[in-house]
Amino acid sequence: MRVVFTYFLLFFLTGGCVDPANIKVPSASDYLVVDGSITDEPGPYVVTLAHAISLNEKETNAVPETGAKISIVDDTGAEQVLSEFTAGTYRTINPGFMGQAGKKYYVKIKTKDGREFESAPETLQPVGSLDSLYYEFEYHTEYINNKSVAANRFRIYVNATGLNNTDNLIRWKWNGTYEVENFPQYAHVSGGNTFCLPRPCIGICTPLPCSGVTSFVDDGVCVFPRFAPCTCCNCWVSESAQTPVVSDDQLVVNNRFNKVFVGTIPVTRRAFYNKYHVEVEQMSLSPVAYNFWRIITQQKTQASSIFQPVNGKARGNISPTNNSSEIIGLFSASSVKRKSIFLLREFVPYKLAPIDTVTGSCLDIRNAVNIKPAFWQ
Amino acid sequence: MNLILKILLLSSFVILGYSGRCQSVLSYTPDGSEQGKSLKNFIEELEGKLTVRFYFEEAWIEGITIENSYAGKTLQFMLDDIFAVSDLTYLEFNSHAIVLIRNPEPGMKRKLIVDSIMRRQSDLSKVVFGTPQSYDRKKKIIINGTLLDLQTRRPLGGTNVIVNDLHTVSTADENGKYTIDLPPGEHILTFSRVNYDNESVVVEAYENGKVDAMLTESAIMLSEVVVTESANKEITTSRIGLTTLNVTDMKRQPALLGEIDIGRQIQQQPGVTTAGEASTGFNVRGGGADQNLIQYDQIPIFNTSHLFGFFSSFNSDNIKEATFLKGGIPAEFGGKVSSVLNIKSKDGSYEKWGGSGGIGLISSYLTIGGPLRKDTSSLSLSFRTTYSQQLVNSIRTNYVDLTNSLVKFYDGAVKYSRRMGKNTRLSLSAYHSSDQFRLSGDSTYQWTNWATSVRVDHFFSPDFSASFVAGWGAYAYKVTSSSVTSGFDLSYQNSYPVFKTDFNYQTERHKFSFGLQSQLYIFNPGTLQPAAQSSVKYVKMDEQHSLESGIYFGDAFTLNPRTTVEAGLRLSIFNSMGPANVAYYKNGSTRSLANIDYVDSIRDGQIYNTYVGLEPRLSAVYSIDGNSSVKFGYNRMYQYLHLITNTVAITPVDIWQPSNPYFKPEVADQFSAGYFRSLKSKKYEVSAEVFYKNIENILDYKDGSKLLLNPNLETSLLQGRGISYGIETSISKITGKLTGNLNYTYSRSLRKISGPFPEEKINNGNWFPANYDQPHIVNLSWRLALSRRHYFTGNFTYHTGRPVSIPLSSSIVDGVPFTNFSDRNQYRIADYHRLDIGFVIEGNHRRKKIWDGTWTVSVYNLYARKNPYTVFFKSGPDGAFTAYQLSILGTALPSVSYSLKF
Repeated sequence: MRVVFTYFLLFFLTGGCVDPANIKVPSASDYLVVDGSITDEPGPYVVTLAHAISLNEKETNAVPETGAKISIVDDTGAEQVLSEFTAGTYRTINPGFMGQAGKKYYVKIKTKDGREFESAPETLQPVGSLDSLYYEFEYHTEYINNKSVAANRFRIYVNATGLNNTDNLIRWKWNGTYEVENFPQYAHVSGGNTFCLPRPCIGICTPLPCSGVTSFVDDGVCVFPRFAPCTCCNCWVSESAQTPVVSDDQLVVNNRFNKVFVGTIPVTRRAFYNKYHVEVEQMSLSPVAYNFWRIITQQKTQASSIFQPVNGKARGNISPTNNSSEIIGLFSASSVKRKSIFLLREFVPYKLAPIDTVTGSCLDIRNAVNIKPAFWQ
Repeated sequence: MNLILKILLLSSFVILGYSGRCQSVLSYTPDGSEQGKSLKNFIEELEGKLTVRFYFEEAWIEGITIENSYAGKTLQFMLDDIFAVSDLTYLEFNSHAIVLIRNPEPGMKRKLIVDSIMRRQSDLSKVVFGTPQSYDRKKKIIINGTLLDLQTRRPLGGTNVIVNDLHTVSTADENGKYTIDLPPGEHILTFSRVNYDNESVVVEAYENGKVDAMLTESAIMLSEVVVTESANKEITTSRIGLTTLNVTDMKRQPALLGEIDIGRQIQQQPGVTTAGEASTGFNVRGGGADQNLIQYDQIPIFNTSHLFGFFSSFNSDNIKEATFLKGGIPAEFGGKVSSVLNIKSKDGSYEKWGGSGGIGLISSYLTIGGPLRKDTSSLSLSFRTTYSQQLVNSIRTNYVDLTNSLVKFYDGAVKYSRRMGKNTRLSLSAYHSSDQFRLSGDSTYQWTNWATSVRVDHFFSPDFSASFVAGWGAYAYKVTSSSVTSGFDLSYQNSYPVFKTDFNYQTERHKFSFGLQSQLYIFNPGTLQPAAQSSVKYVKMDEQHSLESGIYFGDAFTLNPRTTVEAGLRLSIFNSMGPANVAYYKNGSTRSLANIDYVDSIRDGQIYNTYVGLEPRLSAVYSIDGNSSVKFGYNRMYQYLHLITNTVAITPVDIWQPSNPYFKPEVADQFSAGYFRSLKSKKYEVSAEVFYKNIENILDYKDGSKLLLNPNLETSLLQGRGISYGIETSISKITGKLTGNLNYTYSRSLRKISGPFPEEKINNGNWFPANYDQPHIVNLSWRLALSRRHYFTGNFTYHTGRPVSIPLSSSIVDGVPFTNFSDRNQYRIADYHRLDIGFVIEGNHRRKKIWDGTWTVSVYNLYARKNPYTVFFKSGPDGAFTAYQLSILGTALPSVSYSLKF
């Protein structure tokens, strides 16, 4: 439930408006951001180290912090070393290392310039059970650039059971995967969104090399002789919740979380080209991690309130030990339970348009891979 | 002789310093034979007896007879005694010359005042008490009386009683009674009160006397009266930090969408700021919007806004008087730490039926009143409603489909007054306001206020009176979401029976007031009722019961002719009562649900927590001369109800939380001092006032805390200390074609929240600016009379931008992008400034006509300044993050309204 004031009425009544704010802010590059976790599922466990992203800058990718020494320490003092496998991304190298419920863990970081940071030790709490995962279809309208746009969607819910004698601090996170088909063979010489038409052949087809075909015109028809399999036609795109969902201890009855709303999956002809895989993770949280996610939840839901929004400062549990640098981030220890379902194209109660013709490589889509995931049947 | 006299007069200042150095003729002792002689004869005899010369004009002492025997007294004593009741005085020159001087000033002054009064008032009555002969030198002359409304016969408490020639002012008490001391002779008294015509009377007094007066409510068009009555207001009101709001002035200022609003009038006062456009809540001297006690006929009102704060919920036509106090608050008021806005509603006339009303762009309003039985009982009714619903539905917008939206508000009031015999009066008052707001497919917000009261005023004797008030108030809101999957009704209610009894007793020099007040609070802090198909869970928060009581005593007295003092003491008691479940937390750990040690169940009616506050109050005025005064005020106040909010403005869904073991009462100590002066025969007034305020136990929220439906609110909130200080300066032009006021305030409002644990600190426990810390505030308002019926009015406002916490950068953790905010309130939004202008056309000034009509054409925000209300953060389609500012009123808003009085 969200009690937020909408300000549309005030807008038209009063000529209210939204403009970019000109407040000078210091560069964000000094802020280090830590993102890591350990769970009771098999590793490797990943810690990423990056710089915060300055606002008002075109660059939206965080600059990774490379060359750091990172290890995860448990309450016996045993240390698991992580190694950097891509820039700024570090993962455990011991394949036998796995988090255990009841144990405490923290992360130790030493950057290449010698600054050291540690997280507060977090107890890996058990998480109860994730009993069911289900959906509802919803007709929905959004207003984009002052125009109403149909934005129908699936609402995802779970039922879960918590544990007795615990605080039941839980986060639910959905991960979505869908298949798309791109048409790199129809790439047009002019590039962009223009594509050639194969029959009759209109325009000059210049297939991308990853399409595995070349092209020529034969009797007014484009012909695509194949020399290799296409590696950028079909991809699986993954996405995940942008708004965290945490348990509301006031709304739990006898440790049962009933119909927890986890998120929405927008229905588009691309996402539902074939079918959509939704997985929900149920993770236990320490009080500090819970508070971190809760502040972010509020940021997300109250950002556009007409009244002054809540400006929670999500600082996390990492602090410097030999310096006074600003650091943001979380190293959490969680028990994890998962459940997944497929949302089929047929579940959409109307006929979806076929997928559009995109001639770029499907690997250009953010978070896309061309290897079919193991769960994809 | 005349020539000599003049020379002597001119040099009298020099001579004064030398008198009395050698054996003075003034030490001569008369033998008693002078009794019954004329003064002239006595002087002639004396000149024969002693080496002394008297210089004087014979006409001056003609008719003066020596009534008493002065045997054994000195000549000095005798002359002082005789001249005390005349304009005469004397100077001794070289021990053997006595120069009689007639001071022409009082007489000339009186003539001037009489002339000026006669210009407005066709007749000036004169009353005489005693004769010069009956004057008893040992006693002061006391004049007292009662001031009543001519139509309703209600006492007019707070009326200024001005002795024009002496520049002294005193104020009538609650029951309209006043007492003044006068030197013997002729004086001109003026009874002056906001929204009433001045009434003057010449009093020649040598003995005590009684002067009662009935004042007439001003007809709107008599602008001269309004202007005059505001003269002397700052300098002569006996209290620091007091403003009486003038409804007539309010109607002549440009108004937002033509709606006359008391909230906006208050925001023009020095030292008062507001969070932004959409808030009638106001911040007084660095206090929160919840720290203002707003009373309607003695019953506190919790939410004073219509339409999300665009307008206040009081119909200004129904306001008889609104008093605003921001410093030196008297002991009868308690429960809030920053200010008091005391609204008295209108009574119906006991004489004839009449009314007033108006039509604006957003709402229309009507007030009518009159006798039910002439001279015995009267009724007043007022109602205001909006037709913005039609307006909203008729508008086509790109933002949202508004055909299913809903915007409604109304407020109404009824008052019945009855005289029961000579000494008792009864009044019944009821007030209700209601708001509904819904956007297409969105939640509906509703909120209502109720305030009802029965009041009996009784005079036990002319000097001893009492009032008894029994009332009931309620504030409720409801949010209804009609969503199929997540529909709910969220409701919240406060109700509070009120009982008050106040006594006033006055003697020659003292005005005592004392009383007992008690309010029971029954709070239902939230019920969440899911709709039929909804996934929302039912939640009902426990009711909270508490009792706030106050007992007070105050005394206003004249320390000496230049100094008036009002001192008081209030004892407030706050009891928390069961049923309740109070959580206790483990020692040495931060308050969180995980650290609950045990929960104590308190049974019904059991008192489980008590706070007692002792609140001294003091205000004093020292009049330096007729044109300037110095004032001082001190007050300590306790506040036991806290508004739980994480927004700047008061919103309909905020929660009021009574003090309990975890929420200690807020305690404010305020010192204020000011200098007030009028210049150029009261054409201008200037003032400067400084204040310092310390507030303990101020509430602030933890980042990311949950405030709604939280039974353990103590886990989400922190208490700390707030200070504010500043200087308020003001210059007003009171008379002439152009009148106006310019004020500038420099003030700071800072907070420090520093608990023992890191999560109980805000900004690492350092001082930080409060949400409403606005160091520089400038207000300018003017009214230019283009003719007797046409006015060009306007106001300009500037204040430093509010502090905000802003997004500094963004980060991604576990796939979730989020914003990194700065420390709390470390940045500021752009400065706020706005110019409004208005053109007022009043009806003709003939006394006999069916109604007075007034047109007001105004433009709000003339130069279309986009004042930022808030800064927020939006993630663009490509994932780029941008900070935006929201301006609620980004354009010039013209409006036309018509108001009438009949």
